[in-house]
Amino acid sequence: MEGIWYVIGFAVAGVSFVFLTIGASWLISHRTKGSPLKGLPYESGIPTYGDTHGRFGVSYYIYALLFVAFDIEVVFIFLWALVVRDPIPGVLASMGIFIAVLLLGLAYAWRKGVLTWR
Amino acid sequence: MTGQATMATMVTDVLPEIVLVAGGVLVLLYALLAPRRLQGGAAVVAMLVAVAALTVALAMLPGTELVTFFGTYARDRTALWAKIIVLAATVAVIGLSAPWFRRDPRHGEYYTLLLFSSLGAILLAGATDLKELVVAMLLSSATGFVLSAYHRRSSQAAEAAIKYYLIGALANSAMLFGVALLFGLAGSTTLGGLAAGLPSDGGLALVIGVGLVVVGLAFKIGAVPAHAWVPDVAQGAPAPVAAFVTTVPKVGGFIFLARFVIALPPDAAGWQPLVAVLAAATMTLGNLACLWQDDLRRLLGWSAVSQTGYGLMAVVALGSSDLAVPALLFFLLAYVLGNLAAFGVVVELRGRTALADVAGIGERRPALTAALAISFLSFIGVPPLNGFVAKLLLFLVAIQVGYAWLAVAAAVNTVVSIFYYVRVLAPAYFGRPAGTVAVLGRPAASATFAAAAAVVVTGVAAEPFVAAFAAAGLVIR
Repeated sequence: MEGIWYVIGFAVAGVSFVFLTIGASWLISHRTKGSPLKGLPYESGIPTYGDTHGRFGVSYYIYALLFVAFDIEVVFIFLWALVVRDPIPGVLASMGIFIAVLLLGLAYAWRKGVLTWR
Repeated sequence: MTGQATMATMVTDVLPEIVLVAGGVLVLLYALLAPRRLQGGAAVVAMLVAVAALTVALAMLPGTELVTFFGTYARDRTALWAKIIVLAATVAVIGLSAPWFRRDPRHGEYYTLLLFSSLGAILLAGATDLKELVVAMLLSSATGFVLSAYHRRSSQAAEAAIKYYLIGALANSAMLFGVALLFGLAGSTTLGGLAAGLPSDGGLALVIGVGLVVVGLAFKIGAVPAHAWVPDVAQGAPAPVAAFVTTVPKVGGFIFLARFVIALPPDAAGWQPLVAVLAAATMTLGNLACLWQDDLRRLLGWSAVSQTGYGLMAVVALGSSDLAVPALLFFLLAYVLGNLAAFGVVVELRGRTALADVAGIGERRPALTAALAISFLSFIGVPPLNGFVAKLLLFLVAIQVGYAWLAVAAAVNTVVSIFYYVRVLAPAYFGRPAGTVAVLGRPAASATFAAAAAVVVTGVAAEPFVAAFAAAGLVIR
């Protein structure tokens, strides 16, 4: 029952962190003192232009997806490497199957033309 | 627990799953290499894979019931029956999909997703470990989102998929919190470990943990409070996908929920009243939303929600009634077959879904309308259809364990439901037909008629099924 206080404390700390940082930046920022340019969210010396809702290409997201797949693979290979020295039959084969299935995903992406930059 | 079991014997416990994985990869390879005009062949490959896995699961039925892979995966007859229901439904959905996607030039990998999604449901049905639950939920959900958005140029499908995804992301992350809390309380993630390690006076943390896991499972089975995606997906997703997503994941979700609640310490978390209230809320809400529905697919979605409410009655009775497991399995069988037949009719009508579109189809397409009538009458619970036996068992177990008020609520809801089912059937039979009724083709019609015939057969000859389900154990360690 005592453990619940850790949960509550953690929740309070998490929520107050958000408000503390926003409040602190509100307190110590020098909002409209001096040049109005200094009050802009991105201060670079010249007035910002354009819409904040501008569109920009995210065609790299598929590379990111492929990266994640192989990133997770490393997590599994690391654990596998710890036990691979034990003489359990099929240890090598199981990792081979796992990597083969992942590579098939890469082949699929390749075949679908994902790897060509457009 | 099979601590001494070798890897080789453990592998034989998950043969249907291995067939599905290998088959899904095979379908993907086919889709990758086959030219566009032969993409439809992927349906045939996927069909063979699903039938092979179904055969293996049937062959495994006489085996001993045990928990394999170090306490994380059940190989009992409940899980096997769930696999059989899931795979039979997958076969039917492949039949519905083949003509639906015929004109889509790149749909080979659709069948890979379908096979992996049914694998997710199967893993849910067998899981006896909370980490296994998380993986199975992810596999089943992620594939479901993609399947719902398969017509990616359709804004309706995109809307349905994004709603499905957002509610799913919320429910699944809530479930992760719950899993973490339960792990902290019990010091183990296996259900056997939970049963042994959860303190019966776990207090607030136990209640919250159980509640959050139940929310995750409620999303999977389409129950209150995470039911809102069901009508949208039923209406917006491709019709064969709607048939799949409203049936197959539900089987896995229900079986895991059943395993989960029997692992909890009795009376500790108050899960029984919790599930009973969810059941009553789900069936009532689903029914009320159905009443003035003018869209057949949306109506089927809400009716799927209300059916989930009835099924939860069996979960309430788990652990206190011997009939609870057979009631749950028979309900799942009846529900899946009925829903497949109903959605099959929608597919065969080329996805036409407004209530006005079904007016007078009884004259033009008598067999198809009969399939719709059979599935609706089974949802209501008219003998001799299988929905009657399912409802009988569900009411029986609810009364057995002292939840008579729940049975009364279900009975009232059943009476109310007659209204909106008849609101579709009456114009279908007595309405004036508007021109010819175009249909999709033979594979879809065969799947629909097979499902409708199965509704009748498993209703008339319910005895052997109930007896077989009564012999099914629900093991968690």
